[in-house]
Amino acid sequence: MLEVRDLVTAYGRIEALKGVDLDAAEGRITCILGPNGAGKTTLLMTIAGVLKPSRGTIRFQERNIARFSSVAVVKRGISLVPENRLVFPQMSVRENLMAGAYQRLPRQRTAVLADLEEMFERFPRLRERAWQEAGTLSGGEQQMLAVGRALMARPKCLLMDEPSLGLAPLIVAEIFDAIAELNRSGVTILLVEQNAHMALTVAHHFYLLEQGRVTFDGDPGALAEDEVIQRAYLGTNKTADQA
Amino acid sequence: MVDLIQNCLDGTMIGSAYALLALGFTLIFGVLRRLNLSYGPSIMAGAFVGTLLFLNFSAGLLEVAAATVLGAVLVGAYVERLCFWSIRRGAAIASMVSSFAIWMQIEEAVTLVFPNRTYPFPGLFDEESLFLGPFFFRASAVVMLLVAGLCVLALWQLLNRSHFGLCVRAVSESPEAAKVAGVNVGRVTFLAFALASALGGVAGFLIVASEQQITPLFGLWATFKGLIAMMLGGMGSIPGAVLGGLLLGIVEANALWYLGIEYRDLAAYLLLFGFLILRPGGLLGQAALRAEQTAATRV
Repeated sequence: MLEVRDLVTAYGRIEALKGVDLDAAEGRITCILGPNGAGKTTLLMTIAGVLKPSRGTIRFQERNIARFSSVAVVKRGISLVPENRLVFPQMSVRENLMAGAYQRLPRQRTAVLADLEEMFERFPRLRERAWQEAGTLSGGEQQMLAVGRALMARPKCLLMDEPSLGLAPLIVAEIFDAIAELNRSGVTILLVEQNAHMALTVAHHFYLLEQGRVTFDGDPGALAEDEVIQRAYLGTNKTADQA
Repeated sequence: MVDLIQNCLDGTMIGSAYALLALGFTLIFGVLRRLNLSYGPSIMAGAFVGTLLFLNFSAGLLEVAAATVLGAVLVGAYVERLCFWSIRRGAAIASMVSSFAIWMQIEEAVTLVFPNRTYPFPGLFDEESLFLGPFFFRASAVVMLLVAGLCVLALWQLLNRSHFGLCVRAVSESPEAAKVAGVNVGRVTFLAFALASALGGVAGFLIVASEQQITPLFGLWATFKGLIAMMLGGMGSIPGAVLGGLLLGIVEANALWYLGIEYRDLAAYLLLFGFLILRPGGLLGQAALRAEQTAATRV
C-alpha cells in the first residue's frame, strides 16, 4: 500500500535518511525499530509531507506522494499521530477531535459527527472528558486523543510515532490493544517504536533503522532470532527494556 | 470620587478601542508567534483610503468606514505576504525587522500621496454629550464602546463556535500539530491576519472619526497602543487583550486628569515597564504558557 524507495531527507547538509526502502502492506501493522537519532521520526514526517525529501519516491495507492504538502497527504488518506502526542492543550477534547476532521468540514458535517460518536465508543474515557481541556488529560488519555484526532480524517493508513513514549506499562498495554483493534477494523498501520517487546505483540513485519539506513527487514520470527537485535532491543537483562 | 469614576468611564471607552487594536495584535501573534510592527501603519493607510473617498467623492460615513476597513485589510494582506508568508517560521527577528521596514514604506507612500500632515476625517456626530447624573459621555465615545463591544462578542463567537475559529485556535496552540492534523496552516494564518486587520480597521475608524482628523503618525500611535495593551493582557490571549486595552485606557485617563497630559503616555510606559518586570506574561498570558509546557510532560 505504501512503498518507500531510496528516500533521502536532509537537514541542511546532514542527511537524516540515506536512501530508505520500506513497504507497509495493506491491512498490516509494520513496525520500525531503531535507536534515538536513527531517522525514524524524520521518516514519518517525510511521509506525512511535513518534511520534503531531497530524493526518492513514496508511492501510496499507486501514486507518488513524495512532494505532496501535509494537507494533500492527509487528503490522500495518510494521518500521523505525532511523537509526544501534540494535542492542542487549551482546546477541549471534542474540539481536538473536530480539528482532525478539518478537511471534511463543513461539507461532511453529519458524517463527521457520526465519527465523533464512534471515537467516543472506541475510547470511552474521551467521552467522559469531552469538554475538558486536553492539557489536563493524563498522558495515556492524550495519546488516545491524538489517535482519535488522526482517525477523524478517516485515514487508510495511520503513521504512529512512538505511542508508548513516557507512558506507564499498564497504559502502554492499553494503547497497543487499541492499535491491534484499529488494525482489525482495516486500518493499515506504520508504527515507530522503541519498545520492541510491545511491538512484537502486534506487528506483522519489522524494519530496523540505524543511522538513516534499513539494516534489518523481516517478520517477527526472524526478528526474535536475530542476534544483534536480541541483544540491543529484546535483551536478556532488565535494562534492555529502556533501550 | 466622582472624578475617579468619570475617569474610569472615559478610560473604558477609549480602552475599548485599544482592546480592538490589541485583539488584532494578539490574533496575529497567536497564529504566527511573531510581532507585526506594521499593524498600526496598515490601519493608518486604511484610514487614509477613507479620507480619500471623503475628500474627493464626499462619501458618507458608512462608505468611509467600509473603505477604512477594506484598506486596512488589503495593506495588511500585503504585509503578511511580504514579512511573514515569505519568511520562514523560525526567523522571528527577520520578520519583525522587515515589518518595521514595511512600516517606513507605508508611511512614505502615504506621505507622498498626502503631502500635508493633517487631513480631515468625517466625525460620527457633531460632538454631542450625554449626561447621566453627575457623569457625562461623549456620544462618539459611547458609539466606540458599543461597536467595540459588538466586535469582541462577534470575534468570541467566531473563534469558539465556528470551524474557522477552531482552526485559528489550533494553529495558535500548535502549528506543528495543526499541520499533521491536515489543517492548511498557511491559509488559516492568512485569513486570521486579514481578520486582525479588519478589527484594526474598525478600531482605527472609530478613533479617527472621534478625533475628526488623521495624520500619518496615527500608524505609530496605533502600533504603540495595541502593542502595550497586548503586553499588559498577555501575548496571544484574547480575554487578555480586552482586559489590557481597558486597563491601559483607564490608567491613561486617570493620569491625564490627576497629573496632566504630559504624564499620560509616561503612565502607560511605566505600567508596561512594571508588568514586564513583575509579571512578564501579562494578566492572562502566563497561564497559557504554563498549560502548553505541562501538557507535553504529563504521564
